[in-house]
Amino acid sequence: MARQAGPATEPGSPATCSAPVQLRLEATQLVVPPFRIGPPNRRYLQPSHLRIDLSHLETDLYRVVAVQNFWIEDRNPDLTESLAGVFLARRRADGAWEEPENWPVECRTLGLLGYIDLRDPARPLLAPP
Amino acid sequence: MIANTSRRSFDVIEITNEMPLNRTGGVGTVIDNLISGFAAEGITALWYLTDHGYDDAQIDEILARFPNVAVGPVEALDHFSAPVSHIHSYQQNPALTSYLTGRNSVCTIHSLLALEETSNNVRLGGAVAWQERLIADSACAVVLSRAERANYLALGYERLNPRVRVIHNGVRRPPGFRAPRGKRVLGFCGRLVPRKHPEYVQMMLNETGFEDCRVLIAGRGFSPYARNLIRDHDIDSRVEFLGWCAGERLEAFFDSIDMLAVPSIYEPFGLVAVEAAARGIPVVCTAIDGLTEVLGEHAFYCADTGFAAFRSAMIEWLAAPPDALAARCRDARNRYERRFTDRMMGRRYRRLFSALSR
Repeated sequence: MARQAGPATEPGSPATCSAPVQLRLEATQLVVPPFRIGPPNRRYLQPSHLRIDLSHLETDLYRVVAVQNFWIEDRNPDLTESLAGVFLARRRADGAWEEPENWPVECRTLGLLGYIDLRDPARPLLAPP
Repeated sequence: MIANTSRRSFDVIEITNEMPLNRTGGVGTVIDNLISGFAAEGITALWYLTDHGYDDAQIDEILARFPNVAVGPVEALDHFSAPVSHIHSYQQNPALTSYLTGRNSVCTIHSLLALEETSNNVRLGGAVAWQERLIADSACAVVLSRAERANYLALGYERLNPRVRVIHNGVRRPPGFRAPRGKRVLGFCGRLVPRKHPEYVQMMLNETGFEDCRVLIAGRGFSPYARNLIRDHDIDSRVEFLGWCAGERLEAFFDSIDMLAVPSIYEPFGLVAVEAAARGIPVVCTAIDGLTEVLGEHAFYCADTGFAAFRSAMIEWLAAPPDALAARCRDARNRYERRFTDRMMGRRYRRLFSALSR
């Protein structure tokens, strides 16, 4: 019987993503389609298909978090739009979800896109937030 | 090694980790203005990119966008010749110090890493020792302001290399000048690191007289401190983090702000203050290091580096009548025109290169 990946009752920050982002799995890759989230006067744009290789990750449950991307130089003159990206978060030893702000990746949490369960490496599972 | 030129002999070889594309700091901006400043002065430079963090697509873009670029390891520098090499590297590489041995070389110290450590309260590992070795191995060290030369001497670096010159940075003329501006949009531009105090301008939003203001922040780096600051001060809806801005976005930022805050506790030059002065943007800043050399009498200076002093300077800016603001901004622009254009920077380096080549 297929396991359910979505830990909807798990503690953590609430999902704030304003539009569902259709994550999908292709073999050992997580595919994140282009997305745009946030209110009309402050939009965060991830313009390309992201393919994240999951094969090197530890077996665990991960949160897929949309973040504002401070790492890439942005030349878009529309100041109401900013670049977005994706951060995969695990639980820390104290049980709390890791947050992108705590890492030197220069990102700011925007919202939760979903969960990915790699506890069984042979059968990765996706679940909505 | 890959190059977009068949030429092998140049007036100078510029050795850098960064070009004006997806810059990791201010060095890329300086390179951008050196390219135009050298061109205006008739200096033919090779831009040698090494120990960089670019991917293949970015390298392709750099090679397509900028003339006379080569990308490769330090060991391949011998394919090219020039009477002077000019180093901007901050990546540790022993091959570079070997390359410098016996050559006419200038290293520009864009910031003193020993002071970056203390002002940001971080440890930079072996980077400080690396910079000191680079200074010692170069024929001449360049710092960006007289204040920075004083810092150089205070650190005892004269023992490493007594040949130290001050060459101010310069920037290209911007597309427009507009002064006076309004009193609503407060700006900050730079890395979000402790020494630059990006929180000060945000904290102003809860001060009397600033209730209708908002803050635009252009710069990289985000931290739990930044997150908690906007939450704890309940200013999330009035602070916009624009990310790491470049090109048209940076120009849109400058066009949108009514003032620029630079409340740093260490600023070897203050490139962003020059960029603001050139555009007619009034600057509220600390009276430290390069900032006073850049802005002269034409800024709103804080009495010290604390928030209370910054608040007083911001209140002075807010109270300034439009005519007085316009005059101050015109004077700052004139100072920029006289001292801090890209061409003037290129000329100062040309003179230094000539002196070293004799």
